[in-house]
Amino acid sequence: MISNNILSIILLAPLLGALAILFIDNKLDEQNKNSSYVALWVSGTAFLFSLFLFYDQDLSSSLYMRNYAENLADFAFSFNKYFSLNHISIIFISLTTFITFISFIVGYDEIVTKRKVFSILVLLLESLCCALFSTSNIVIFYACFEAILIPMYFILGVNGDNFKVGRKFFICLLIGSIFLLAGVIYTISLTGVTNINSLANFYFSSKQASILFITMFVGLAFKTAIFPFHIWLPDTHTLAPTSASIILSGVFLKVGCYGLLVLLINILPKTSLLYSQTICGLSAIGVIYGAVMACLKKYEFKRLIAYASISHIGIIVIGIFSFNSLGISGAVFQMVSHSITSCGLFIIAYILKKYKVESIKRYSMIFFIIFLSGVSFPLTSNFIGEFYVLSSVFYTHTLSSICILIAEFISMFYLFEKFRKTFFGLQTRVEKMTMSYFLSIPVCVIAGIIILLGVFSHKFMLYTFQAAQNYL
Amino acid sequence: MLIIFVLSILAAIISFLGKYLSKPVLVKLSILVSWIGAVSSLSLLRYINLSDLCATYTFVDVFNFASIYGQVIRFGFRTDTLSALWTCITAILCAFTNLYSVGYMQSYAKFITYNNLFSASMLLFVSANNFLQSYVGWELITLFSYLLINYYHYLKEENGDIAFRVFILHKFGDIFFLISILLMVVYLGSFELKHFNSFHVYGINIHDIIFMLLLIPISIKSAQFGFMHWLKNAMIAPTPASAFLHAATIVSAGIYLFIRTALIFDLSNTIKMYAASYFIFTSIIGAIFAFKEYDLKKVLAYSTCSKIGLILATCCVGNYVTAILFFAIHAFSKCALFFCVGNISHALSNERDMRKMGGLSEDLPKTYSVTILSTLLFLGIIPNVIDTSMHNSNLCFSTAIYIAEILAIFYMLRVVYFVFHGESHLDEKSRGYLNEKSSLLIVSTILLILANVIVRILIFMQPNNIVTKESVIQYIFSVVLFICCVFIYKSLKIDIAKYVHLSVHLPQIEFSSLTKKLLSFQQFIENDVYSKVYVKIVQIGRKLVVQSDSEFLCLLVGGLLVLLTVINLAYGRL
Repeated sequence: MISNNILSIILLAPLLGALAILFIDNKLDEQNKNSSYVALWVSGTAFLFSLFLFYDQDLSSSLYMRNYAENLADFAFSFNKYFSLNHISIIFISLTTFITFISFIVGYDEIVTKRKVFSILVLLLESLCCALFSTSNIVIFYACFEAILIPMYFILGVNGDNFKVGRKFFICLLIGSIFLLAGVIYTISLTGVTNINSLANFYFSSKQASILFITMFVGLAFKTAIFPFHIWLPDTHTLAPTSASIILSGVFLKVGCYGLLVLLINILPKTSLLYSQTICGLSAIGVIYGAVMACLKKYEFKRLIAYASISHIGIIVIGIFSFNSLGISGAVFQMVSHSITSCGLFIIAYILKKYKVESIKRYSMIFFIIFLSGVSFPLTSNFIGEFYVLSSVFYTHTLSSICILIAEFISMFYLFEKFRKTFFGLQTRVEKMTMSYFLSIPVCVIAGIIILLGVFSHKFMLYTFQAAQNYL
Repeated sequence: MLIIFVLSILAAIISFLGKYLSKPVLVKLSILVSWIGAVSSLSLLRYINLSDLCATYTFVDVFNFASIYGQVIRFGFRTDTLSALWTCITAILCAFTNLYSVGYMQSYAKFITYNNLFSASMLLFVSANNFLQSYVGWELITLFSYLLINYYHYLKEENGDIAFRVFILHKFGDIFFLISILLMVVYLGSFELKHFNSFHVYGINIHDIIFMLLLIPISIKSAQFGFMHWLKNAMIAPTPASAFLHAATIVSAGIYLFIRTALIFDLSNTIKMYAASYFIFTSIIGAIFAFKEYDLKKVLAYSTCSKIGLILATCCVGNYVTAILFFAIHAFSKCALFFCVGNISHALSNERDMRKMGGLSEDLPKTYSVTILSTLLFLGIIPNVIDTSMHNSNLCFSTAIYIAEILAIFYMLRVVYFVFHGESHLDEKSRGYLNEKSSLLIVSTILLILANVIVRILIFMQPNNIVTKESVIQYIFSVVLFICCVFIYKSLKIDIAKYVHLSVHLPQIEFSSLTKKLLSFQQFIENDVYSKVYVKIVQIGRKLVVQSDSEFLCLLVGGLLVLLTVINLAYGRL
């Protein structure tokens, strides 16, 4: 099969790229930006290959998880038998490669001093994340979950000494990982099985399931930044370089969401149903809290986006815990659209910081599309995800869905207001400093994807819908 | 329908390219395209059948938008009497305003882009076959109307703020629209535009709940009492935009949604009666408020509120045919009036204050005659059978309508007198600029008046029982009323003229205490709720959460509480 080889290419290409960059001479690199070019090429090819995964014919015939153990037996890497694909993991893998590619484009403009280190670390992170999204083994899942912290920690400090921020980030997520580790060890000691699919068929007593659920939920909640566990997110976003922020909100938060879906909904469906009211309540508080805080902190753009992310993550979690395939597919859609939108917003934040407003007025219409997606306006991708989530939970969690609607209204006061204050108003003449076309490419691509997903979402939704049904 | 939609999008794209590449030829071409759209919309007239508003329709399917609970929601274009009428009016008035803006504005490319996009979103809203597409169109209408109101954001700092407040108000209403759509999904299982059987939850008809929720966005969009001020504030938009949006289309979106929902839901009569009294109240109050304003466009804005209130009240009584025909006539005549106001302010270098005008009939003879014509058309003195046939329901209702009509005659006379008659209050500077050289403005106004007359003739020729003996009698009655009003006003005018000698400013007409209270209520909503309360909330919030340290504290407390509850719950269930 093609997709077996594609998966191994996607997993290994970034590693090989990182290895290649390691041998580039430091002084030469500063002049020629060689490492950036290599990283761009590698991540670009990985992204293109990941698009081919969508054409896998076997998956569309409702086959749940394909194990590659037999097919790849002759392949040199024996750990390949722990990797398998389903619809949702394909979506996340292509999302990861896309976001990494975009982050390299921004990093080309942004990262000046430690180009080589940045490229190596981000490629490593990409490989680890793809492994996490495609694994069917709980130990590998945990290992990747823990391991992506380390490159991320160093990426945060690339643009100077951000030791303090990195510390907060690292400590918070380490606590989460310890909780998850406890949960994983307890699971294995109970069952003796490490495959997630076979764990899904295993019977846990209600006490065991409750303990498992709480430990795993706390572990994942730190990484997902669900309301009381989100404290690391705003500070980290504010001080991190933009290209790191893009990966942080685009891939890092989604790892937690994917974990919620795979570990909690898949393995412990009954317990999740039991706690779904509590978690939806928490997320509803988070939705409102994030929106209000973003309103209060609207003068720091990156902090604003961070709080907006907390608000949107709440919607995703409500969708995941709605326990019907409509809600889960809406949540998956919302994850993709949130990644893309916040990625676009971070690029805009970077552009606004670096260039004068007057010189980028010609792009204001394209920026406007991304802002509109941020306030989940109809015909943008965020609206579709939100509408699916709302229509799936409106009957069961009416109060939470009204909270979502209120948060959507409040989002006018920060994101739309931000756009208005920046691009409208009295004209002031400043000397022109032209924006490089290089940066306008990702913004245009993101705006195009937002509109494309917002208008012609139907096929994509059918794709996620099939996968969501398998989790129930 | 699809063709007209594509044409308006095309016109927007062409004018955008024209601006981007700075080629005025392309912008002119886009105006031509919008005129082609207007002409082709006339072909929709064959779908109009007044005895069947929306039962029979044709549907052009374009693509699948979403699927919810196995039900596929299609985007497409539905053509029946209602949507055909609205499409015609939108396309024709869009073409007229595009033409007018060439004479009115210096750089009109951006305006034409926005205008055509607005028209396209209006078509999307009108031709929806389900409530999701309606919602999408509704939101796009809000967005583009915001962009049009925000058009002069670079002239004054406060313009942007006002436009944003208008936008926020609309978005507030849209929440209720979305909630009612969700209620439809959950309880009725569908949001296609088809007839629903009544469905009861806890003894309450769900249709009534949905309809009451929908009344909020409807009355916001149609600028009913409590939300009137947005229409007044929106007058900072360029005049062609006001003529298109705030006279004809955006305010009528509410009417359209009202008729659509009222036709497909079985509503209880109680709700209809309450709604009718609310709308009638708005129409009278709006007419009274029109006396308060000195800004010409704001007078017209309040008169629009009043007339839309009348139309909505007529819908509540169940007289849909009359309502939509009255709307058609009102859209054209109000648009013509806005064009006239635009002509006046264009001649006076953007002056719109009545107090600084006067005696302009000699200086601007063409504008004067055009304004008189369109005023007469607006007041229904030039034959307007529909206007009088609205009165045939009950006594209380028709009395209220007569009061609103008389007030309308008075405030229009006030405008005409203070602008064109009496003593001149022009300062020397603006007298120097005084001209009516731009013939395009006058020509387009005359064309619009002609279109208005044609619409009236078309309605008159409808094979329907709208023209009855009663209505003819009432028409004669209203003409007599008009003549009486003119005489009364002339006698009043003498006194006012004496007063004017004393001070440059016109006298403020004394309000009764009740009206003053209502006015202050309106101003309270306008000033306090939207700015002061919001600012105060933000201030309090800032005080509570100034730095991330205190935020951290709050979070620790909150997190502990949440954890405690989680643990409690867990042990309760072990």
